[in-house]
Amino acid sequence: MKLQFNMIQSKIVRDNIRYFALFGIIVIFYIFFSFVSDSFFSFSTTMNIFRQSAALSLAAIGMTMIILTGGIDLSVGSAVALSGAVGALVMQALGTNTFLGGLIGMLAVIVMAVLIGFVNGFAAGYLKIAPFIVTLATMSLARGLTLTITDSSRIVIDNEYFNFIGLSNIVGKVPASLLLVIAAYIAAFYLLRKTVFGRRTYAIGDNPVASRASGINVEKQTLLVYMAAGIFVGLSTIILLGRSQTAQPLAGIGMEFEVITAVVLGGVSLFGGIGNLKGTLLGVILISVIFTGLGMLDIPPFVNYLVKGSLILIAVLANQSIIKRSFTVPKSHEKKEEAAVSHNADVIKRIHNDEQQMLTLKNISKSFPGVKALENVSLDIKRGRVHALCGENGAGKSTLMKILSGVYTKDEGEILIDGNPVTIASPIDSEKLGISIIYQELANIPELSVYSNVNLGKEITRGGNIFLHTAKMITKTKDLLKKFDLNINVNQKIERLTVGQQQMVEIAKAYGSNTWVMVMDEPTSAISESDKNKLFGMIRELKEKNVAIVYISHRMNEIFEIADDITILRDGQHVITGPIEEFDENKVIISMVGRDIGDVFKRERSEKGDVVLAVKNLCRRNIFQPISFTVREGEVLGFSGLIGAGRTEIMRCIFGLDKYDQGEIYLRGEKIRINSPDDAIRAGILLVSEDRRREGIIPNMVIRENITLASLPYISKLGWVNKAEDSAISNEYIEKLKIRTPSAEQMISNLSGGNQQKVCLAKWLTLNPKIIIMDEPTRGIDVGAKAEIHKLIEMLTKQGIAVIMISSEMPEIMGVSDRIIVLHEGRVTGEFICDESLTQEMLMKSAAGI
Amino acid sequence: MNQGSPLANALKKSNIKEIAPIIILVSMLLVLNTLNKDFMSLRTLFNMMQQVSAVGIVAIGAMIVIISGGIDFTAGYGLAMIGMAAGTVFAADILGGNIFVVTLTCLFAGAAVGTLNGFLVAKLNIVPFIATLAVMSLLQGMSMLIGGGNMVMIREPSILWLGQGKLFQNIPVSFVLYVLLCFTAYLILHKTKMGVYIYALGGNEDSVRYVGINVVKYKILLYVIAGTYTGIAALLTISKLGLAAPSIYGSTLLDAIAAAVIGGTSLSGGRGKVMGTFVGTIIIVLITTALTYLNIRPEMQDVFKGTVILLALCFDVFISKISKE
Amino acid sequence: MKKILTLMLIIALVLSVFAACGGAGADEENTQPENDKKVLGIILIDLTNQFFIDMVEGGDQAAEDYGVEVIWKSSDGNIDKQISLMENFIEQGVDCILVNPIDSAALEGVIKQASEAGIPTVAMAGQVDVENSYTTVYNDYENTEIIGHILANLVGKEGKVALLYGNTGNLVSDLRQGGFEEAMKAYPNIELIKQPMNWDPATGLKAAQDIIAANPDLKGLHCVSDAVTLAAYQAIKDAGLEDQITVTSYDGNPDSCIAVENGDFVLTLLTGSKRAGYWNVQVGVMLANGEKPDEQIINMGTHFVMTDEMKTTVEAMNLPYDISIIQPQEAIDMADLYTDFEPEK
Repeated sequence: MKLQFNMIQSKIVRDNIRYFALFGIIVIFYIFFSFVSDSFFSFSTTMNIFRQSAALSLAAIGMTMIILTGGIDLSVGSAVALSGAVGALVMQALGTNTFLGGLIGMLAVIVMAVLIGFVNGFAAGYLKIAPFIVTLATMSLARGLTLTITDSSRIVIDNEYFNFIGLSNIVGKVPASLLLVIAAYIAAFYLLRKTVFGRRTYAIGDNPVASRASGINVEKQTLLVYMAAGIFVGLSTIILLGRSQTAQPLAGIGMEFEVITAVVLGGVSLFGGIGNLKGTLLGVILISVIFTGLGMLDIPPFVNYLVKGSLILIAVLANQSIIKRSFTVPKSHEKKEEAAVSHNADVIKRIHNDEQQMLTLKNISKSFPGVKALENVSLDIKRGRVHALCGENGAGKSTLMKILSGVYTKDEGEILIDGNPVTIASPIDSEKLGISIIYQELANIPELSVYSNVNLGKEITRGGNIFLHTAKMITKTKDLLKKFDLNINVNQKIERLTVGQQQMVEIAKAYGSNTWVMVMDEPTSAISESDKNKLFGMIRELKEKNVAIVYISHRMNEIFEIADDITILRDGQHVITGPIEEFDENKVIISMVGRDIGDVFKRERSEKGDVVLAVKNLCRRNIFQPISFTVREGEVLGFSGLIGAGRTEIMRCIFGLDKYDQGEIYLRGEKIRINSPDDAIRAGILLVSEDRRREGIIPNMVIRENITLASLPYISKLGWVNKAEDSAISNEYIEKLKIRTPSAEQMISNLSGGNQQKVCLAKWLTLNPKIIIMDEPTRGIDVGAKAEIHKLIEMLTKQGIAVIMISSEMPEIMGVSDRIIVLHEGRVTGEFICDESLTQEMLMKSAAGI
Repeated sequence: MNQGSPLANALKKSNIKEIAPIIILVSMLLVLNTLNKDFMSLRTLFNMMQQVSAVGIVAIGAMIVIISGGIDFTAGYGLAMIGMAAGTVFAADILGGNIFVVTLTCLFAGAAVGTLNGFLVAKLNIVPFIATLAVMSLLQGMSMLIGGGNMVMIREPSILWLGQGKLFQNIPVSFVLYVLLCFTAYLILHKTKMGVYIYALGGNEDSVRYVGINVVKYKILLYVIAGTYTGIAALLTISKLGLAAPSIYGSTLLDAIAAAVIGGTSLSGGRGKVMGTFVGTIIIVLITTALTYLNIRPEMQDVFKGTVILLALCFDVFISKISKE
Repeated sequence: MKKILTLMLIIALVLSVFAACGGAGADEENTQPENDKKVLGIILIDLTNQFFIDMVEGGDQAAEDYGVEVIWKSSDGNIDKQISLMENFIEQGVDCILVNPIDSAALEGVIKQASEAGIPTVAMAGQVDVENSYTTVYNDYENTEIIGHILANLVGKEGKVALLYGNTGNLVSDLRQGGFEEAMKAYPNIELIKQPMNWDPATGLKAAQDIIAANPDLKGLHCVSDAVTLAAYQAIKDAGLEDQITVTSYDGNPDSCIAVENGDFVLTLLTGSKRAGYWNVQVGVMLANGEKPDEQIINMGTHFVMTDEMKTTVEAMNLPYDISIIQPQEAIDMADLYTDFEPEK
């Protein structure tokens, strides 16, 4: 208990350390200026500071919101000028000095500012144009319009009601604008912290993909944010105009940079999702204190600019160091490589002489927060042989290979070449040792030519190592490709090639860099049949050239076609290794997915109700073939198969994340059209994604906020989030799902994988779904948590909810499902009822397409 | 795999993105010619040649930075600062105050600005947007500090020749210089190792790092190139005007970036062509010139500029969408 | 590494502020309350235009001569900043505030405040009708009207004439434009083409180039600021139309006077930026000492700068104005002088 309290306390300190620091700096500067300038330290100066910074602080609110979404607004200054001009013209037309007139004027200003925000937001949100360039264009446009409609002259504002806020004091020297600023900050604070709008703003800046997958309409939200910012820009304009009682055509020039400086100083991250108004307010105050103070000193004006520039730099650097410290991965996960025995240099010499024969990974272990990715895994890689590495997603294959390639560092174990230990601390080390990985996401530079890519980092030059010897490189590349019978025009941009060809070029490139260990990660997953054959030809060539190949794949036929040896991993552990002759498909599949059935929870089957979801001939060209199925209330429909079978893709279409080419979806007999996650959610269909990091969690939000992310409309009234319900729901599900955390206010990124998954599940359960789709719900989760999730599924079915579960774990899917559909490479290969007659072998056969 | 519609494939192959700026330019010229017959004259042509030079050179520098995945805000006030530095050197007769010294000052000052930018971005890992924003402020201050902000008249004919001189009686020297610099940029981007790296950094920075290329060194270098280009532009500007003052930057910054973007340089990096930026620059300068010819109120300048940029961006989005399907 | 750099930056920043203060402080006495030195707060539109830079030089000289302290501030072309700077000056309790208004109407409120606080103000080239507020001007309107007439006569009262003005909304620009246009009204056969140049030489050059290209038969050009005229003239030279286009200018920069002497320009008007600075500070000192000028609007005399030849030509025009004409060399000498033409008391 005590530990938790301390943790929370220190968390509060840690979170707010920036604001304390800012406050401290403000005080320091205040004192400094008071000493250096005798008239600084006075009530009226302080009031002056507020008065003069009022417009800036209001504009900063708007900018904060925009930057929180990951955008930026360079048009603030011009927006101020244009909205001011419009407002002034309106009041001029009205010609009255009345309260109503003033009010209409203010409305005109705000409406115009919101309109500009609309243009920016639409372009940024719906057209997806980079906010930076959009607002640069609007900045120009708005300024031009201002000059045009005002004829480049200022417009006097006679309306004293309009001018009141910017101009007058309420009591003594206290400016009226201060009240507006305070009110605006309070309002904005509540807007960002307590409303649905605010939550969503943070979410889309933090993780737009997960936001969309949680049902948030990202485009709409972006638009709304820019428009809301417009309101505050309008308020800022009203103050600015009031101060001078005129609308100036050149108002606001340079304002955007001041505002951005203040916001950045306040700790709002330009990448989105992090930061708040506390910081912005402090940032504005700091800038105002500094510049008012400087203004009262007799210093040459250019100093102002130097100060401005340095301030921004300091702010950003300070930001970076703070972020670094609070997000450091706990040290235990970054054990330094033992300096002990590292023979890199000798080994390199050996390699240079082409004497090496075998690379060994020995007893490799690697953990991430909450997940043990690899445990004691060993692997021998021999030259001239193709070594297949198999396992389900999460088995540890990629982690192992990333350790080999230097992207990760191992926690325990050794890497040896011919028995000599080597250190691989970075990709460069790996490359020096002659190890290459061909990833699924190609690592080439799309815009460059084939030969440029192949020679990247090893360009042949002339003229003092500056100019490219294009002819030589082309020849060299051609020769290289010829070795593998590749007839590709090396002059064209590499992006013109098919994926398969690009991959082969990468392989050739690796070979050309004297790679002797080549890892291929699912190389055939995205290429055509003919390219695949070419690829295999290439692999055979490589074998002859004595290259060791690690071939990661789940496709049985390929493995048996090309591999010499095979290793299977499961759940981060080594299962079996041997020459391919000793295996058949069955054995491979059993090793990959078979588990002790005895351990598995047998779900209590419940009464099944009516058909609640019917899918007819759903198809996505080249991804999955027409598929039809139904699910009833209280039923669990399992989807089994190996990776790449297309299960996830089908579910993504049903959930509206991807578009399908043909097919119909019926909800209780009624046809529905699902174009977005929002449609699906409204129909009561929910999807717990398999990639929770990308599509599941909003990393910089706490557990509670993640849990209630999708149910915000239901726990809020008129957009205002009911705090009690918010906490209640979150606590309810923390308990129900047994999420292990000291409190609901913990950052979700601090949870273990299993607990994060529970949070994702909780998020959907709060909506009382009719149909819930779970994609690999227990991947990367420890046994205890797995059982809990299975129990949860049972609970759901008892409530009459239909569950679709995608799983690669046989015992799980057999124990939990009522029926199972098996897919293999986009088509249905089997449909089974889960009764005693069903065996793992039957499923595995279907999964393998046999 | 993905076959895509015939239109999409045709678009991909035909480089329409690269032709787009030319289409825009030609349409503008046609429209202008109909509206004002005097427009298509040699005088206009030669005028524009001189007018595009300074902005064009800055735009090339901006393009290089943007291709690498960054952005450079220092071009505007940098122009002023470097101009003032050169002017001061000239006025104070430092080392003779002749054309060589002045040119060297411009080159050196430009390179210095670039080094600072590159350092902040590459070594301190500050986002280029913010880093160059900050330096821009610093440069603004410095342009007022150097020489006390006093305007300097440049009377030395050899220096004036750069910005005002003509070859064959009509072709401005500055334009020739501009074309030369375009060519140089082309060489750098397509014929040198550095050029490969510039595109690579914008295309996939991680790949570059993993191949063992010294990312820091090359990033700094490319900002230095951009800074030097700004320096040369400053030299041409003060030479053209015959004076150096802190206010000579005009709307260069926005114009340069707009020119690069309209010319097809992608703001996310990895794409851009010298020819495109060249055409983009002409388009931008043409807008202002056209307005004068058509006797349209000068206030509308910014309206037109902003609109053209927005249209170009929308067009870009439109094309990308089609080619994806 | 980064933390050290950050720290260094902060230190550098603080040190530079100190240095600037120290540097400033070394020039004048410390602003300790017990010091009797009068303090003048002067706010200029910006500090990049040569005119203002010269004003600062002249003004500093006056400060030295009269034993007062002058604090110069730039408002960077921003009206809100001007208001803020004035508020700060009022707060500091300076003895007199001088401001070059971007827009007089906008400053009315804060000038009233200064008046209520007992601080006299001087609107330099601006007009605000508030008690205790004075205006210092030259006769921009009348002067440019005269120039208009002269130029019209020189081009034969017909043809195309171009006007490069600053930017609408700027008082000085408006005055100088207004006077010129008023004169042109009297010549119906003259077609007037006007373009703003934002007080920027580069913009002026481009504008001139474009105007010439669109109007190759242009006969006259007037630009309201010497710094820009000098740049715009390059366009005329470039087009080879020096003989065809008559150029007039304004401000009286030494370089412009040389141009008049060379025959490039026909005339310019010496406002004398350094003098302006000196003179305004003089007025400020007067006010700071509690003296009150007779008029609220205080005029500074100006001179037309022409060669003797041109003088004869102009005098032959028999214009209904009584103007003072001096030679270019005189003007150049005068430009460096601070004291000339005591303000009419």
